[in-house]
Amino acid sequence: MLKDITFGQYFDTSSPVHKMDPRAKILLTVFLIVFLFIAKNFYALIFMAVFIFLVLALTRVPFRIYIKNLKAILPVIIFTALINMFYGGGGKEIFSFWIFTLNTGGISKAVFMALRIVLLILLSSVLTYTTSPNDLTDAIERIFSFLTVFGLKNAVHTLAMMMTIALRFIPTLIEEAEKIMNAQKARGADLESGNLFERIRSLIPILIPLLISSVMRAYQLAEAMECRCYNGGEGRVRMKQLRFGGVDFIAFFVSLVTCTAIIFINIFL
Amino acid sequence: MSVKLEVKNLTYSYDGNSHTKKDAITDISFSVLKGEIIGIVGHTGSGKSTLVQHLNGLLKATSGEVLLDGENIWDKPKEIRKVRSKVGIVFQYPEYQLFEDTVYLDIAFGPKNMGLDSEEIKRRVYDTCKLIGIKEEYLEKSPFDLSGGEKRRVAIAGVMAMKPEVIVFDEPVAGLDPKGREDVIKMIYDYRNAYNATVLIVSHNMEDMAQIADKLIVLSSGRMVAFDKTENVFKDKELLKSAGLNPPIVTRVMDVLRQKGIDVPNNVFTVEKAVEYLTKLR
Repeated sequence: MLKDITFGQYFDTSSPVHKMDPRAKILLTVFLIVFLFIAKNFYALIFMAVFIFLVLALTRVPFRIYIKNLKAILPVIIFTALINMFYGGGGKEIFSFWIFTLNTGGISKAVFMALRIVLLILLSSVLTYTTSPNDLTDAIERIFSFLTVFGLKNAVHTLAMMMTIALRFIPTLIEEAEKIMNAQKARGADLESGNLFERIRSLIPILIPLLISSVMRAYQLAEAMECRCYNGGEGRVRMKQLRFGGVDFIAFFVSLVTCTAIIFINIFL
Repeated sequence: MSVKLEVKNLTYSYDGNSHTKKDAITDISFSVLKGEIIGIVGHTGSGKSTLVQHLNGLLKATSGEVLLDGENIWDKPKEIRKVRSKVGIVFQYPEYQLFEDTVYLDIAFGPKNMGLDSEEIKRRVYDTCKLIGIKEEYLEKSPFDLSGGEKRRVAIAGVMAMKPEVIVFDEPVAGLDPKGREDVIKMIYDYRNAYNATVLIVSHNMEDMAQIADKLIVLSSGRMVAFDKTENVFKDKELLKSAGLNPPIVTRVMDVLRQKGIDVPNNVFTVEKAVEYLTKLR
């Protein structure tokens, strides 16, 4: 039950996209998302869609995994489409009811918006499916390391370290929660029935032990880190150095070409 | 004596879907009498914990059944919580499940969940404490102020206060010092003797098993490879080896002595017994 929760969603297929530098992936994702919003007509958006689907194919992650991600966000897509549908947009009127008027322009706007969100989700899924959580935090640390200039000397490293640790302990905590749940169920705790208030109350016997053991774990981890002379980010070097390679330059080049194309389509079509 | 608990052809596989299907335990059958102490032994990952969680319905078998007093525990799925008050499980490191403000309240948690009235709850808490030696002045303390051994004692009391007819211990003495270990073993005996309860103990420590268990269930990769009197299991060196287990150290010492031509029997599993035989030789 709790085991079903996946976090980080990393899906290792060792594709060229997996081999990219995580910093490059983050930057390119942001860059492409911006251009997804710059694309202002259907031609540009479809051009972008083709590009994104090519990237999806390149990741070798099964397509149904991406679909699963889309399903989760389906209500948002439908809601956005509906709002845009009735928000004018010009064109021929199809029907009108009370304060709602449906135009052909509204429909095309709704489709446009829905497609844009779908592409947005797919694009960001590429990042989370092809980059392990640890690589992601590493990259975030490096990207934001320029902040050290502003006197935030240890803050960036500390935050990144906290993220890494939090991600690392999610499976441990899930396992622990399951153990405690079993123990309390064995003592007759009823977790499945009762009204909302009773259910919340029945969580106390699980949350308190979980909280206590997390605090204990935190102390132990802190001690273990200090025993290995951890003292923050200063002077720390990495075993796995991040390095921009050929794949990254190709990716940058292709993305640049795509984005230039978008601008041209925007202007001339 | 009557059969208390019966397990018939129990199989449990993780994940219903056929691709990733993996049997955690396969076709396990045994029956346990009232008042017996049974040891469940096996290598790490042999399915001991999975098996145990079927006995009170925390897991539901893919096939096969668990009978308590001849009745399938899943006959009335809505009343599975009643089964859980009859079959108590003390999990590994039970001190991590303590949560109440006072020791009294924590021990009372199980009985309270059974829907007993406050008089009966109070009686059970005091009875249990008396039985296993928790001093009354401890009852108003916070369980988090106790030492490790005392916490374990309180956590075990929390299960015993439900007066289960079958009580299962998963590695009850793991992480305790010798004194704590003796205390817990005494608690188990006292409970069994007071209520003629059936006891199952999961462990991979053969020394403990030699001392307490009447019979042993040996698990290996999810299958039951033996179910026999403790001494018979320990005599079968090949069987133990194939299950990734060793007989108690003292048994191995006696084996070496016998190889050297010293006349000692091959059914010595406890230090007390060994001392007895060896002093006779002098």
